[in-house]
Amino acid sequence: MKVLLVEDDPQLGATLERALHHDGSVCEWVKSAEDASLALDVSVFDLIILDWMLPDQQGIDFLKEARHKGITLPVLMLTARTATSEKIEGLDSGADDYLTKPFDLDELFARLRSLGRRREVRASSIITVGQLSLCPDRHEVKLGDTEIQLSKTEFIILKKLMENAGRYVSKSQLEEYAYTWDNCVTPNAIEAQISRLRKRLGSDIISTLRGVGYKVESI
Amino acid sequence: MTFFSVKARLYLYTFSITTLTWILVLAAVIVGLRAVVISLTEDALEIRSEILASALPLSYFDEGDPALVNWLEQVAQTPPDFVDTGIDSDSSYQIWYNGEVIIKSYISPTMPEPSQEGASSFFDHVQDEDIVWLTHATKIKGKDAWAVATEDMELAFEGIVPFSLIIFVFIGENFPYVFIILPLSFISLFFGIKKAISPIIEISNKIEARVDNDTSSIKIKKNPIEIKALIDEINLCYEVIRRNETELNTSLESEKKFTANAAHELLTPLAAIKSEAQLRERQTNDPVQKEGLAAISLRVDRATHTVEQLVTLARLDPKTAQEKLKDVNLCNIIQNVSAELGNKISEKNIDFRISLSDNCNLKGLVSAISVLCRNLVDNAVRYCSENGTVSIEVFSNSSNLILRIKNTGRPIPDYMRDYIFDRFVRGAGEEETGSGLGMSIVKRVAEIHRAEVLLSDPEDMIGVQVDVIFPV
Repeated sequence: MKVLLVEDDPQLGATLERALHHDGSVCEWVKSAEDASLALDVSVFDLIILDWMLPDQQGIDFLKEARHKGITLPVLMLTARTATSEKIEGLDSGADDYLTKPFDLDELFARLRSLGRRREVRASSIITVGQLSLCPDRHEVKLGDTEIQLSKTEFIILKKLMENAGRYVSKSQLEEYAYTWDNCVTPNAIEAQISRLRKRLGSDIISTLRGVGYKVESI
Repeated sequence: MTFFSVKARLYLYTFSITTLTWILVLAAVIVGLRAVVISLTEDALEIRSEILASALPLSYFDEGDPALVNWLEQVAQTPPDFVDTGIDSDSSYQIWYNGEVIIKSYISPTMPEPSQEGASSFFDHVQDEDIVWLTHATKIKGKDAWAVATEDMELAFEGIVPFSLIIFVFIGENFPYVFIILPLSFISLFFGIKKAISPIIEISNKIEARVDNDTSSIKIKKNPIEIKALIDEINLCYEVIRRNETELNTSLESEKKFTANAAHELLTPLAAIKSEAQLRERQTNDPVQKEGLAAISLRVDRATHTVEQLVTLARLDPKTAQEKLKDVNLCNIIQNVSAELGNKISEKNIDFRISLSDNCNLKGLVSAISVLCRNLVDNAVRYCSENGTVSIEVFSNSSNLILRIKNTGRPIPDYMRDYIFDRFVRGAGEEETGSGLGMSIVKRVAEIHRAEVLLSDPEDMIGVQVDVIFPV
């Protein structure tokens, strides 16, 4: 994969550049928003790793402008965990995923791979996790090559879980999310939906942690 | 503070003054009428006695005149009519001659001989039994004779009422609007006062209808000048509040920027170290190297945690306490925080139990409460024994909402319980990556929300129990 790394810290940037090479990707490393714009004009990339704070501009502002200009590349934002609002702001501004500093290299690579796959079908914003792929526009879910039929609520729940692949989502968060789309969600409905999803997709796809929530493993 | 109604007072005062005035006018009229009656009576008496004095033929008073004797005998039975004079037997009069009453009307008092030094006509009062009479005596020319007109004053006054009634009827027929004045005055007072007071009531209603947080100036087109000072002062207060809010927001904003920058500046080098260590760990096969590099990674995690807690604590400084408290759903926060720690929980194979009440609402700051929950749940998971239990309950009693978090594991020793809330005090037996700041953060957030934090031994397990008691 060809990665555009936008990071102004010299040490972190250097380490990440080497790490990406070690992982088999090609990396171009720039240290400012302006350089990033130039790079995007000149070369073709598979995805962007974008730091939250750059010397000449805020990361999200650069991102908003880029999206505005029509750049649809997947973007992984690097944020600080103490600022939960950065996460949300980042995703709202057009980031596809985020990692909080400091991060696990393994996690970085995993997310990059996941985003890379997304890139191929970016135009229709399909979400892919492992063998599962979900297309919000066409309301389609595929396990491998097989299409799976899901009800509206099941689809919504699965989408939310896949968007947060690798992390637990609590029942109340699922309820809140499903409620905005479908007003008839009762407290036990989520459990029922999850068990139906398991039947259709196989029981390994969604893991439950009692008292905490549900998770789709990111692969 | 007691309240009274200006409007009611105005009605009371004006209506009672108006009524009082009318009563006084009525009293004055009656008194006036009495005076008029007396004056009229006096005039009438004077005229009557003068007419009598001149109407009597003088020849009657010649002594020895047989015509006089006849006439006297006649009038002894029936008082004479004095034709064309308007005086008849119903009028009250007496004629005196030589010290005796020679002619007397039917109704006339017993009185002494009229006399007054040097006067040929005079007024007098005479009392006969209980009745007071007003008299006027006129001397008959050339004779020792008096014509006296008399009047019973009480009778005269009795005439006032029918007299007044006649007056009223007269006025009512010819000047009816006089009688409309009284009710009209009340009606016009009522509406006049209502209209005059209504701006004040309107202003009061407008102010009451304002939304709680509205601090915009009060702008009303027509301000009664009497409350101008009041309105000006209120607007001044609002201005001060707005200014303070702006100042607070500005300082909160710059505070947030500062801590955000600090976080990045501190965490970026840590990220560089960790990534470098992990990269080299991947690139080497030497187990000793691998171990060392893994240890570096763990140390970085610990430093990271400390940095994050420090930043959080910095954010919770006194200014935060001045932010407005809003509705917060504690149960949602607990669930979200638990989800975030999901991976850690499953790694340690912890039995995670949550029991939440239906009503989890309290007034507070979402971010601060989130931090409190994250720290407590994080602590519970961190210090929980492998395969142990973490239990979270949210329940309420009449005056409080209580968050109770328990975990199995090493209990907190008594001596530590007091200073566990101090900064940089960590749990004993530390392979963990705790920073020692978690409980100070919890304490600070609790302070902001006037909540109490209690440490105790759980009843149903060996470990730690933390209760956060929020007043609602």
